[in-house]
Amino acid sequence: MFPASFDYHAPTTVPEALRLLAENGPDAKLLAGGHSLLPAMKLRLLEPGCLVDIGRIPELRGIRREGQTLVIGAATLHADIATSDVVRQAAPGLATAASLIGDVQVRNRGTIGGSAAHDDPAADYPVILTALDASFMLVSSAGARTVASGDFFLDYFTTALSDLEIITEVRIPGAAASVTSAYAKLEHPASGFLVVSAGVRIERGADGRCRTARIAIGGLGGRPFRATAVESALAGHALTPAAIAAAAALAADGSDPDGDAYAPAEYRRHMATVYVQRALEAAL
Amino acid sequence: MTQHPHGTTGLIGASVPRVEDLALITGAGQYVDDIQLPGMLHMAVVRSPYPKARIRSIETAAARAMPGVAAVITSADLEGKLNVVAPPMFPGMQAPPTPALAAGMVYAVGAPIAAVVAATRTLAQDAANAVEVEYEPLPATVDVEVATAPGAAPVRDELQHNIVYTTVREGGDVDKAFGEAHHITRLRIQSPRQVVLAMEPRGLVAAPERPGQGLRVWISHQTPHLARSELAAELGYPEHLIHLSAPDVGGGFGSKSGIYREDLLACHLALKLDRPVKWVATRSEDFVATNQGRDQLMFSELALSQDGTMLGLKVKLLANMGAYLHFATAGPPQRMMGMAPGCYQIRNLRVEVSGVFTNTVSTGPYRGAGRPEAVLNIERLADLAARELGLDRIALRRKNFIRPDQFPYRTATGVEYDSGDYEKALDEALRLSGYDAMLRQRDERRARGELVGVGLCSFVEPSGGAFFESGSIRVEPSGAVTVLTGSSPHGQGLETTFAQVVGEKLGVPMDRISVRHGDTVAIQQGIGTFGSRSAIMGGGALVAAAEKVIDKAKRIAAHLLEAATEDIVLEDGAFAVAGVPNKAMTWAQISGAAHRGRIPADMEAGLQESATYDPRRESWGFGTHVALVSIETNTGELKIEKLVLVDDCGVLINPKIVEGQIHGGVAQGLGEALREHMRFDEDGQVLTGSLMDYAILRAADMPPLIMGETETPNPFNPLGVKGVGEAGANGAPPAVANAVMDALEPLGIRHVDMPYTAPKLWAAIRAAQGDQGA
Amino acid sequence: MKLDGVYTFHAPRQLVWETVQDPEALRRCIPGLETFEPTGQDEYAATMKIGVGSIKGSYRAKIRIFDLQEPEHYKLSVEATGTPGFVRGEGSFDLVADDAETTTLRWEADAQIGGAVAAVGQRMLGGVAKMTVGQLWAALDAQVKARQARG
Repeated sequence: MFPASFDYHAPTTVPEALRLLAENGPDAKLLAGGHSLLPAMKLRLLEPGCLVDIGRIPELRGIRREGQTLVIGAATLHADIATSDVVRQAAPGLATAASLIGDVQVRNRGTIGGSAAHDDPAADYPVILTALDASFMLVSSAGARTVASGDFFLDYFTTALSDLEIITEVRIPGAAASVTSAYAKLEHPASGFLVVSAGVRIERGADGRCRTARIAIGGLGGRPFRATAVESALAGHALTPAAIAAAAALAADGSDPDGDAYAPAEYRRHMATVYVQRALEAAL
Repeated sequence: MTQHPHGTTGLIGASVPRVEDLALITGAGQYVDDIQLPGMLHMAVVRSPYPKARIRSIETAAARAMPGVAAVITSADLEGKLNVVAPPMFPGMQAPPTPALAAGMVYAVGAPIAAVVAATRTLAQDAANAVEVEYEPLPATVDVEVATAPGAAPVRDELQHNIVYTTVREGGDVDKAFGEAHHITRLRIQSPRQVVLAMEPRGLVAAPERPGQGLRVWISHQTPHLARSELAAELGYPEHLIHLSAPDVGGGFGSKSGIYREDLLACHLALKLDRPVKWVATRSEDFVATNQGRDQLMFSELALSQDGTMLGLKVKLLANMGAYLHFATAGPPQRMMGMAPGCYQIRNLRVEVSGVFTNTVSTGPYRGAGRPEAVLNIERLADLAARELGLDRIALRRKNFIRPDQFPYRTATGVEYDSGDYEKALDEALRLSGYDAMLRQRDERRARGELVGVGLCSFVEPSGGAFFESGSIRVEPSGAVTVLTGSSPHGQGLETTFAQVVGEKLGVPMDRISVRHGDTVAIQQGIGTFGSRSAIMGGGALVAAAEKVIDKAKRIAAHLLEAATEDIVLEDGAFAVAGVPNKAMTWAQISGAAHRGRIPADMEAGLQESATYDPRRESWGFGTHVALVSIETNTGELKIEKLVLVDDCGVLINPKIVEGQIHGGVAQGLGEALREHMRFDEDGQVLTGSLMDYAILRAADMPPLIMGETETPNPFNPLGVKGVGEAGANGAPPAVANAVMDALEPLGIRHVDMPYTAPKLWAAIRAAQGDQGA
Repeated sequence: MKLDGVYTFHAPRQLVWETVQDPEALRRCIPGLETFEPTGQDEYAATMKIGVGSIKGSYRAKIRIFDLQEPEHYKLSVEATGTPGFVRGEGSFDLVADDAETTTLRWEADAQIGGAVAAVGQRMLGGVAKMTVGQLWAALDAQVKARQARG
């Protein structure tokens, strides 16, 4: 486990980081927490000639509310998200997801932006951020743009982020008393990555009924799977145990998961219903 | 409980804290990778990604030209020398030598093809990656049944067939027993292959000593003297010129016995380049370069009378040995020969064991080394027999147990069990587990639709016996004691255990005793640590050495006190004429005299004695483990709610260390039961080649353990001890397996092989529900 | 590892056949292809980056097309070796003319992946392989459409 040699830069501002990215071209990789990048380098799956460490840029860290929007700096640690009162109140499902990533060491190094940019199909953030309808602020020397999670996570390890962009913020809308969220995960016993997981976001009306539901499922393919059948089944209905169970049964409808040596496709489909139900129950 | 005993009586039996631990847990241990020598080079190995392939070409020029590279070698540089040679354990055994670097053909993923040495580990890896190998991939054989089918393709070109060896042992009249049987219980069972995963991977440093005159080796190993002998033979280097040490060793579990290809390569390159060479496996390498465990396919038939008396047993075993045989690869399945009947009187036995070549990573001993498989087999059979006959599984076990008055008991295949009281351990386990109440709760929960099961396993654990062991005790002039043991430990706490034994025997406090081991120059010929042997074997040797030292000390005391030797007694660590304690002489006084000539004229100076111990028999520990499990119907997730362990390993020298040994064995056993499974796909590709996919059990996954003991001293050992290192791995997995099958019985499921992963149990439940619904 | 799939081209079968058999089209469409040189009849040597997202390894590959039955069937084998291991596979491809303007391509493949990628990426090899094949069809589809446009 010995990486090939590489140059290392540790800028302290975003413009400086962008300049380094541009100067070093496709040979450069951004280093945040390093908990996906460095193992890949040690296995020689990746041999970037240059690392730009964005872990020392203060403006990329932090959690704050802007009205009904929860704003999280891209280099914020999983551990900080998991334990933040602001996150727990505004998006409890996100705090839960962060608390279930890896182990303590991983949570104290890994960052939300790094995980999102890496877009491992078995990572937790893409699932819950899709459910939460989060968007990503992407900055390059040409300017900034905002990309919704549905347009950001594209396929296995593939996002809308270009080589010359940095994620600066993750923005989560709808932090309101009427909105709640939850996350439930079946872990792989070896890696701790998800086998199947479900993120749910429920907005209730004044009558207590479900007004809208957004549900994303991990483990069914190369990107989070939006369980639109469940969403439709819940919208406008009272969230009784029977209604939840009936809706959750539709979780894998329309999905086409690939099995692996541990969990066959059929198991994944069934676990999708189990974990959507668990997430819905946890949200209430 | 005595914590820091300054007294010496009662040392045996005290839970003395391990003297090893402070250094090890504060990072002060000295492992192979901590060794740094001036001018040291680092080795990296180019390995086959194919399970079977012809090597068309190897291009090393680019690698040789890279900065810092000292050498790149392939099989062409070895001229047929440098082979790992497995000892022919059985007549007619097919044991083709394993070239250190593949010559023309590779037969398993991970087979070394080229070795690179360079100034740093990174440069060595860079250069290894630059070696270009062109392969012609060939169809691989992965499955033992495919490998042994008529007309099967040979796993290696030089093989006539894929059987390493077949041994058969028969006792009684098996055909008659089966002819008279009321019922025959049949079972096909597969033990999952496990990766050993010692915390410290394999590794060594090899350094030339005084050019042309010696080879210095530090190696992470369980048996330093055996390692030196094998290295000498396979390197073609004089044994007496190799100085080999095992420094602190971070676990071995059987895998660090014998010499591997990388060991030969590092020594060869050190001698060739006249520079020290280090190689330490990465975790990824450890998955394909170190012996793995288990992977036995067993077919059994148990003949029973109507009342559940076990009349006869036939076992046929196919053991997957991989493509390359190491020192101990052939050994583990042989355990079935002696252990097939387990705790039971079965007078008619036929056991047939075959080792089978496949294009997979080599196997070998792993904690239990054939014992867990044998226990699993007979204990699953016992439960199935009870179920099929409609008998209580406890009653069936009691009926067939070897009775205490039958010991020493000779089995139908001629193996002698020394001592035991299996019902006592069973009763204690039932009491501790609250067995009857547990069954009631199980039934109540079942009535509510839960999948809940209770299972148990009564087992024997043979230990010690193979080889001899040595011990040496040197009383220094100050009266302090240096102990040299051949039982080189790798985490077992033997520095503590042996200090307790010697301290008790000599009457010397532990802080005046140091236990040394693991060095072929400093330590007399000895063997090492494996097969739950050290307390028995190393302990036995030290008791014999202690008796010799005490004997000589008494003669010196008699000389100095002008008394008859027979009148000298050793009490509280001092020698005195019986009845005259006020004129007692200390060890310091006696040893001072021994080293300064105040001894009888016909006596040799000094106070040091060595002994070897070889009981020429094994010790048979035993126990009963009980498990309560539940399975979530909807997900297949298995939970061990309770695990009760009653072990009998004779006299306990250090109960806390014994407890730790059982904990460790249980953890590795539960790994097998719950999730650990090294898998290859049908093409021979590794499916679980890293800790991303191979699910080792973690500390947080351990259920709480309820531990108990019975104590049946070993009548054939001076300390009364039996081995315990493998007990947890023997007893716990079958207890869990029986509990899981008990939980699934209401669904009509008869047998599922371990490990019980959630997807596997879910699929079994699904299939059974489909059957029931249909 | 066994994989299979179906892709529908909205073009006549002969046109699809000509496209998928055209070395130039393959050169443009095989994901990650860097060099692509014919070495014999229907045999090619290639260097390619295989992988996904940012995790890509460099491989030297041999590609062979055989068992051609114009315009409905062919097989293709790939043997690629690189630092992260190897990828070997053989695929069988059948083109069915659903109507004059629609062609269904059915494929099945048996692939072996070994080395470091396989050791740590087991959980997604199947999905990634399917995705890569999907990219190939999408790129070939674009080629087919371009030919159609050219008339």
